[in-house]
Amino acid sequence: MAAVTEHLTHEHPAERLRTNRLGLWLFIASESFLFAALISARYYLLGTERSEHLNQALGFAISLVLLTSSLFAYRAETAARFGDQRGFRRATATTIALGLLFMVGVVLEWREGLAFFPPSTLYGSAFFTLVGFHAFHVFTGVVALALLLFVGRDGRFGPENHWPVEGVVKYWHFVDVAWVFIFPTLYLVK
Amino acid sequence: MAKPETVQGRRSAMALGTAVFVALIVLDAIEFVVAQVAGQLLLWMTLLAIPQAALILWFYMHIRQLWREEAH
Amino acid sequence: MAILKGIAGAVAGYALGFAVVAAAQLAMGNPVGGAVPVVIGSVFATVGWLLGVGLWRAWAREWFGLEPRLDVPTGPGRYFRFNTDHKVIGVQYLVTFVIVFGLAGLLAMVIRWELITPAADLGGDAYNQVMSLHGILMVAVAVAAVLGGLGNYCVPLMIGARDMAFPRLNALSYWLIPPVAVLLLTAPFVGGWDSGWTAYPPLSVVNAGGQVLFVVAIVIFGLSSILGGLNAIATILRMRAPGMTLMRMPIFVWSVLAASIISLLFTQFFAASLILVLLDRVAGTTFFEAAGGGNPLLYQHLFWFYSHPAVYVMILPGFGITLEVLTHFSRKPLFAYKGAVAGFLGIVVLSGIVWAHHMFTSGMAHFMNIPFMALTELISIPTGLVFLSALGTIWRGRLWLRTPMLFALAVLFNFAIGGVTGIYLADVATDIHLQDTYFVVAHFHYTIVGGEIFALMAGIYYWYPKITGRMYREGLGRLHAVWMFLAFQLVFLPLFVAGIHGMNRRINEYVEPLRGYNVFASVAAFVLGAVFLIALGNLVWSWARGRVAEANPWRATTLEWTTSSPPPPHNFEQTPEVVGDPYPYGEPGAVHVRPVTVPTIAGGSE
Ligand code: HEM
Ligand SMILES: [Cu+2]
Repeated sequence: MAAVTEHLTHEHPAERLRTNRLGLWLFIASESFLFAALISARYYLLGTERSEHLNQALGFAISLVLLTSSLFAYRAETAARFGDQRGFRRATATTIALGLLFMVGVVLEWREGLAFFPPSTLYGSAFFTLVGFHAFHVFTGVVALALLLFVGRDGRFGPENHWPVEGVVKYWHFVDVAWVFIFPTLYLVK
Repeated sequence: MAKPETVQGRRSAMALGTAVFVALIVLDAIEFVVAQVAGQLLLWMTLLAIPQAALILWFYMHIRQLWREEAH
Repeated sequence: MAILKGIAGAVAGYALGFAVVAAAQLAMGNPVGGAVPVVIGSVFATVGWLLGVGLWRAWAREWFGLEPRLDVPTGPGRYFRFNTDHKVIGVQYLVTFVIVFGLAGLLAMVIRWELITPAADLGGDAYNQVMSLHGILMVAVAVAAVLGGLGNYCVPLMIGARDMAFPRLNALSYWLIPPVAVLLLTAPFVGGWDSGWTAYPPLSVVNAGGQVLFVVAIVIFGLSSILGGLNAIATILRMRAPGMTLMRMPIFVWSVLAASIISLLFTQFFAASLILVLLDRVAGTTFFEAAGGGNPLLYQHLFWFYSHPAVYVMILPGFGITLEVLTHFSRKPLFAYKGAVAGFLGIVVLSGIVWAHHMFTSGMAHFMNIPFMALTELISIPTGLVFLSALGTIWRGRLWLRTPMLFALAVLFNFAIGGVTGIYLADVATDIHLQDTYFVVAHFHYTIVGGEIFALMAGIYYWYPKITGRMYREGLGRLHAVWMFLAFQLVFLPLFVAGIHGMNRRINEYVEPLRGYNVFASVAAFVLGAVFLIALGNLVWSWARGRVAEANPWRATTLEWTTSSPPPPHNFEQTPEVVGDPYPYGEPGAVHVRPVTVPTIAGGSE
């Protein structure tokens, strides 16, 4: 990845790594404004009102799944940084699986939610939009992780070349951070 | 962060990841329990969510790298 | 070729997106059609367009483990493809937005033509569509022409970089623009939209289908400006030449940094607000529908949380160009450089906490009026710093009244009027009378056209020799400056008065006593419009035939003038070394850059 850009910008690889990191952090800052907009819309419209029909236990369960996936994403990145290919592949695959499990959880609770607070209610509007936006981010993260696994099957990610892994994993963690705020916003506050 | 490229460094990095994970799970569980029993939830939830986010940003996302030079 | 592939990709993408949704609709037993397949089709079409036009070759191949192919084309063809050179991209942005500016200008002529008489010459619906299209196209110009055009072209040169921090992302940001244009220009064929550039619900939730295309277009445009802002910030923070400390950067670079921070962060709110409109339309949500418990005011909060800062995305780089030109053409160091920088950053911070001054009459809670009035008026402090810097710079300078300087001086005059009238709008008591009248229209035209667009002209003339390698005709340039300045005053000064007398905005008929102001403004507007023909003629003709320009025709001190005109593909023959402040005029022995031998003949970028 870096090679083309390094060539275009005449940067030393270590410098390029720092530039890439800054770019990703800026993107994350921008995305957090998106979630801030949606979360404030929820509070603006509903205050702390919450539907009685929410399945809080299910929400808690998928939170745990997502937090666990962050642990494995971290392990994938660390393994890649130390050149441990097997560890990298295993941890990445586990992260993907947990991400998919999270999405299954979302589908399950959407089915419950549709019955009690469909999108045509105010709570449903906020709920489905916020969870939907977040789930879309999870989905893009899963796709990116799958590409990493596919591209890295030849063992190209290692101590000298871990930016792609690091970048995707940082994005994944960010999606987790967003959930850390969305979960109480939708499921817990009252 | 520990020195890269050493078995020891890798082990301690992995151990750190697990420790952070345990802390996250505990905080999340406390959050869930508090939500069942307490009032003033907006305040409590915010107070409990911020440390979780901070742990991820600091240990998992290495936000420090933005202002501190590191080998990798 | 690249463009043809892009079009093929767009068609394929649209078909695919449409088909997927149609299949899903069939599977669920719903009737096929409606807005959803169009929305998804447009999104897929945009992706297909990008992949076809060069994203796949130059970048996306890498995501699948393939070698990317990046060719460095030369000749005029390089402007028509996915090119990563910031200078090419800068020109692409400039030319694109000059065309959009012309188109939106023609629509303005239609508006003024309609308003010559009090009667409804054009139907109300047609009028609203024309007005809405004019508004959004001009907003796009104001947001992207200076940042995407001059910012892209000049910032790397001014900080001694070889390119932007993310050259391929830069190309991507530009190539997101054509889909936006296509969507906005096809909207009139599906009923257009009549809710202005602000797209307030409830109207925007129930009006014609063109609104849907508007939403998709603006979300894509927002993505482009977020990515552009990201790139500019990373470039300025990471790519500076040795010795180029932050406080040695030319002031224009600071203004781009400040504006980019706003684009990066706040644009998300515009996207979010429009997506909620879309969901209300197509997914049955009820964010803005009072009957379902929603609240249309939510939209205004989200929208203005972006759109007030957005006015500073427009004006900050305008200030930057103005200060830049003033200092070079006064032959004095910029006065209160640090004050101007503090002013820019202060504006960035304050711009995020004043949005509700657009909502004094909208029915929001009354207790919010006074805080937002006070916060808004605080902005005059950082803005005052910028003005202080400008006035201190020209004070006792040896003003060199060339075309860029005339435009820069005009900015000061115009923005003074725009800013002062803003105070009446920020005061709740006066705004209740002035809201939604032509007073507001005149105010924002004084700030955006009088401020930013005049600054854009200053910048175009100032950097014209650098960009094209040729010199424009000075006489015609000055004519443009003086003519545009006078005609502009004649159009918009009477509109303040018409507004005070109760002339509403976004209305195609008005009462007889207001006729005089309108006839006057319309005639002046046609005169104003005509000057752009002269300007365009001058700029186009000079590009082909003008006198060949030297590397540094203005004897200016900043880095972009130390390389050839136009600069070589890699910008500098050797990495420049910065040793002092950017504007060392009249300081014996002081220099900005350690001198190197520079080629003085036009190098050409081939
Ligand atoms: C210098 C300080 C400024 C102040 C105090 C100010 C104040 C205001 C206020 C209170 C309004 C709302 C008027 C109403 O709808 O009743 C307004 C409207 C507007 N201002 Fe300013 N403004 C300032 C500078 C600017 C600048 C720099 C720009 C752009 C470059 C700008 C562009 C606009 C636009 C586009 C609108 C109308 C938006 C719409 O309703 O469509 N203003 N201004
Ligand atoms: Cu405003």
